[in-house]
Amino acid sequence: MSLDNPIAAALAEAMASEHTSYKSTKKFLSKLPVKGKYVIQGPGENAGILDLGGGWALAIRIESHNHPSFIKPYHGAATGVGGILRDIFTMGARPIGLFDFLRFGNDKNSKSLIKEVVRGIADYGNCVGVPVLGGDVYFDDTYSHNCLVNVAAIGLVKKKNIIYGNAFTPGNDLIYVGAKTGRDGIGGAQMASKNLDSLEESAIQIADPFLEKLLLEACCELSETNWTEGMQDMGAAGLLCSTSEVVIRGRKKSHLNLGAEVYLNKVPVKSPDMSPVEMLLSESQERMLIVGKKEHRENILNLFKHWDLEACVIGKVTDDGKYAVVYDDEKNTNISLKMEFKDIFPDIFENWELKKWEPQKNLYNKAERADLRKIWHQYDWMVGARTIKGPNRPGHYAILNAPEIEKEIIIAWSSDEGRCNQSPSEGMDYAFEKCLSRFKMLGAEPLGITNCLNFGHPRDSMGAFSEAIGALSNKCQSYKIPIVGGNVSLYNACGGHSIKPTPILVMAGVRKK
Amino acid sequence: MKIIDKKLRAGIIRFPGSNCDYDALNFFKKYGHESRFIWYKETQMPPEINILVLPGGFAFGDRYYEKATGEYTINPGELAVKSPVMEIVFAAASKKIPILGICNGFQILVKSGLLPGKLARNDSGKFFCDNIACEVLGDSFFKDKEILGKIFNIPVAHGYGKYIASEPEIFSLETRGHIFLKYKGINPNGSVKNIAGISNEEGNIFGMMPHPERSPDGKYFIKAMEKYVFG
Repeated sequence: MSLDNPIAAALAEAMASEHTSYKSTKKFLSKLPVKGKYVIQGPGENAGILDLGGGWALAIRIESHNHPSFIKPYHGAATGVGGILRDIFTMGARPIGLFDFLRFGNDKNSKSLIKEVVRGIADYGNCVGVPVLGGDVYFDDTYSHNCLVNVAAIGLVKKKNIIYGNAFTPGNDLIYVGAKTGRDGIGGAQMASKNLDSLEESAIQIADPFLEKLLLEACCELSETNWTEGMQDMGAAGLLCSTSEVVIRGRKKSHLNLGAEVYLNKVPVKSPDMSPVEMLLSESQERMLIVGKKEHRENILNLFKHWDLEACVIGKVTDDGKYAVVYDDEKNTNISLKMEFKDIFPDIFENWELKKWEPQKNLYNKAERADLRKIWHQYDWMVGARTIKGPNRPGHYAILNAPEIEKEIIIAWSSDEGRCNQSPSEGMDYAFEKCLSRFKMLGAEPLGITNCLNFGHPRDSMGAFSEAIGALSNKCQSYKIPIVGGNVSLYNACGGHSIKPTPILVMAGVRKK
Repeated sequence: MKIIDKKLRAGIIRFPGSNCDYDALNFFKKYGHESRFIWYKETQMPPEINILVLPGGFAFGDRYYEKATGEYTINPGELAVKSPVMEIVFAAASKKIPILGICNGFQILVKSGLLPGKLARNDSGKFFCDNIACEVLGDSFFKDKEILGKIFNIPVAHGYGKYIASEPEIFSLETRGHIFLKYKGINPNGSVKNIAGISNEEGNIFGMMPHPERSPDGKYFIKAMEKYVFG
């Protein structure tokens, strides 16, 4: 099968978006140190995982939901929270904390956007029952037409229960669980890789925190069993990405010629007339893919049933090295399409000129304490009963009780606080030092970092990106604190205006009681 | 942690969206007691249980569906009241087994009619979470006179916590000592007379919006329950 086939071509296009391929940034990201004695899992999985000792580990991840939050603030922000929580419990970890990093303009529209964004985060996090333990808020005209909404999450998992997003055994089941597949969010990955000028509201997904809560509990229960071989969240380019990613990871780890067969006619759908491409690319929220051991199929389906979740087998792992899609065409005859992985996942690079960043003149303002209080009062920051230091006291760090390991978990965060505008490398140094100084102050040990790199259009921002990554890489190396995952958000631009470079670092560690 | 001979055996009613379920479970364990979940589809009371707890959270996402596939309205507790486990709750209530409803659990007790009044949307129209000073008064929490008049810092976290009832109902609650907890200083939701918690006529059912299981003063609440159960 070549790219002459319209489905293969559409899939290849989706997978070639910046959001899924990192085509502009991967050569820079590869400089970052990602290994260390506490790293169980670095970048490349649903979340990074750090060893906390005593048989326990911490899953950590950050994600941006900038564009959706600008277009549809309530659902855009809420689905951002949903996505980051799934990244955590997909690894078998129970989420124990959320953090939000908000950047908005000063105009009237921005003021109404931030209200809705906060309500979206609150409604989602409160319902699922994961405390928002902190974050930060800054205002600058640079964000007037492109706000930033970054959310991070952490979770606890027993080391023996960690689940990876991979498949190893031909014949094992691909099990679909959660919401039905609809047209919502089609093209979300491409949306995150475009300017805000040309975006549609229909590409934003709708959030369902109650369904997420059911998935969370079911997946945490599943992590206590030996019934699964892998688990994968259906995020960007949902069904396509999740079903192929588990196999590709399995291929890399096992060197077996694994493949996948996906039966689209078995996928639960919201509307019956969806095309195969729509189904494969749908980004409907609150869906998960389980790689289930065939002999435990009934056990897995029953576990989901207990939680009132709709689950069904929609495919299997194969040994022919192909990605096959089986679907009904207009004549209602099953048609099977077999594609080479390299067709849908071409290893592509996009090179941009590394122009020096032109500083902008807008002012960068921190939110007032009173305004911040109005925000965190809407978040349940104590559910889970672990919060020792939450947003109620100043300081960009949180302290959580972890009786499991008889230690406290420390999370510290910082952005460049506007400094990248003058010098991207100095801004990044500042963010790093700020996080580190919290750990020193608290007498705690940093174990790893996750980061969200928000930049403008690559044509004027790649120079800044490269500089910032270089600075981060140097800092991580000299202090031996690795990066265990993160997110790159480019194209934060509107009408030829790029946002100021805005990196956000989240450092995780522990302190003895 | 203190060693006691007589153990509370708490049954924590677990709805699919009860997100304070583990907090309630661990609350009893932390003070040397036993606790277990009772799933919302169960209808038989486990025989060893000597106290029932309806924990906080969003039992069914605070939603109420007229029909399974239809649109929903936000109505905390309404769907929970229709679930099978309420058989256990009503049976416990009539057998005078102590019942504690926290936050969403309080909403469910009120919706089921086991406690009087209503819990409405906060005056602010927003969810609110912080530590709030609360004073123990009336007949006290599980009738423990030792904590009467004490002011505790107890976390609240809710969007629908404004307690309202008719004037005669409020008068009756007040004069009979059934208002056992009031907000002191800050009223986070606009509750009538700063009401944070009430009990029933028989004095075995207690509902409160604040979360004792999250409070550093939690031990006082555990002690009150111990005394109530074991005398």
